[in-house]
Amino acid sequence: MNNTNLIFRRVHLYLGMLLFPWVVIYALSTFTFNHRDWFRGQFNQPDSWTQLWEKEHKVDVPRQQPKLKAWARSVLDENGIKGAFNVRQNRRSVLINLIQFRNPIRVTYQKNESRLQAEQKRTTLAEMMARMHVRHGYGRGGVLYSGWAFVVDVVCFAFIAWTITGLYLWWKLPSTRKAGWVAILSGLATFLALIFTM
Amino acid sequence: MVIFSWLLGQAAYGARSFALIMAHEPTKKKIAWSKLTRRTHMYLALFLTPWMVVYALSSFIFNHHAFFSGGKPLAQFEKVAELPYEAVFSDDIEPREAGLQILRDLDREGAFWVGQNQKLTAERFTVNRNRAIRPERIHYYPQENKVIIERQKTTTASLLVGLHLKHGTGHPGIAANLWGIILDLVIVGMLFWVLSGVWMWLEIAPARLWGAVSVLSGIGLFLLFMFTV
Repeated sequence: MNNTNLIFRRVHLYLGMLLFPWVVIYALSTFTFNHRDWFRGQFNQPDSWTQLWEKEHKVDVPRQQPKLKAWARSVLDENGIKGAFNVRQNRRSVLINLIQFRNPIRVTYQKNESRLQAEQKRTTLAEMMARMHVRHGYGRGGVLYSGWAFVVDVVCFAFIAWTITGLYLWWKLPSTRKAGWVAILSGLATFLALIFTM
Repeated sequence: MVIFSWLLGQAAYGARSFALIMAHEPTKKKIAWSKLTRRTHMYLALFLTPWMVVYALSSFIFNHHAFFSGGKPLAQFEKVAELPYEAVFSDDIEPREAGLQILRDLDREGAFWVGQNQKLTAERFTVNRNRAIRPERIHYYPQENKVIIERQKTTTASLLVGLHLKHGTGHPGIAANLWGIILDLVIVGMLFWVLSGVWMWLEIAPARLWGAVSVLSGIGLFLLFMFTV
């Protein structure tokens, strides 16, 4: 076996071994998206939010988004809640969502009642996998949050690397060329036919 | 015809492999089983190559959305037609049924979605006809008895993202449902590649150590993210 062949084989294999938890999570969560009706009971179950605490909190909420974000950060810090979050408000309330894989927390501030409330969600496996599937992008939290986005990039790179190394390894097996061409061309033809007729 | 003969060939190959696997000689059995696993791993991947490339590239776009969009939608919708449209809907009609009726009346049947909170008593009712290329938005104005049709100018990025988001069955038309079925095949493929990959790794003695290091690193990293992010 020459060097290139061995390198391609090993890259193909080790990338797969390293990233298999992500491949499994993406596959299983896609199944729940593709058959949403079968998993309806697994998403947004009633009474899945449990109250952690509730307190009086009188404050003027900033209107502009950067200041609102800083205000939300200070509220979370004061109450010992850590992690990436997003925040939005309407006339009556402010909602701070901590986007965690396992047990997301939401903090709600009712403006008229000057009341601050924190709740935690009881999560199903399907919900957790769906959150992992859709989590993307840099700059939403600390190092670990960006670390996840980096792994998403690695997974994207891996899919392309598996394709290229896979094609190379197929080409190196002359006995499989004819059937391989039929597989590639039938896949491509099906793909193009679907794109142009959907 | 070519695909049919290829499928026949594969079936014959599978039957032969199965016969060898069921044979009593352990060495032949093992070789046949190994070869069947390797070939299925490879041919499945070759067939699904376009889908895997689309999912890789579109995921990269999602992960760097601001870079690709510049803070705007990936592709703009433009008005292409304004038509008179009169229709009668039953009072208790579901938004999706109403959307389907509008598409049928306008001869635009196919995969679509409607916002579930929309009402036909509102000023505007929108049906999204999510074709792969040049998707359309059909705005129905019940009080004015008209529809406005908008079409998206497809870009490479919007096409890839649109394909990434397509899923499910039960759409009108064959193509969108077939896409949902192939998505199931992609899922089966991904799980099979993992399982058969582990099998093949165990067969390659020199790769055991670094394979184990890769697996354990992957699991460790994944658990770290799961419990901290």
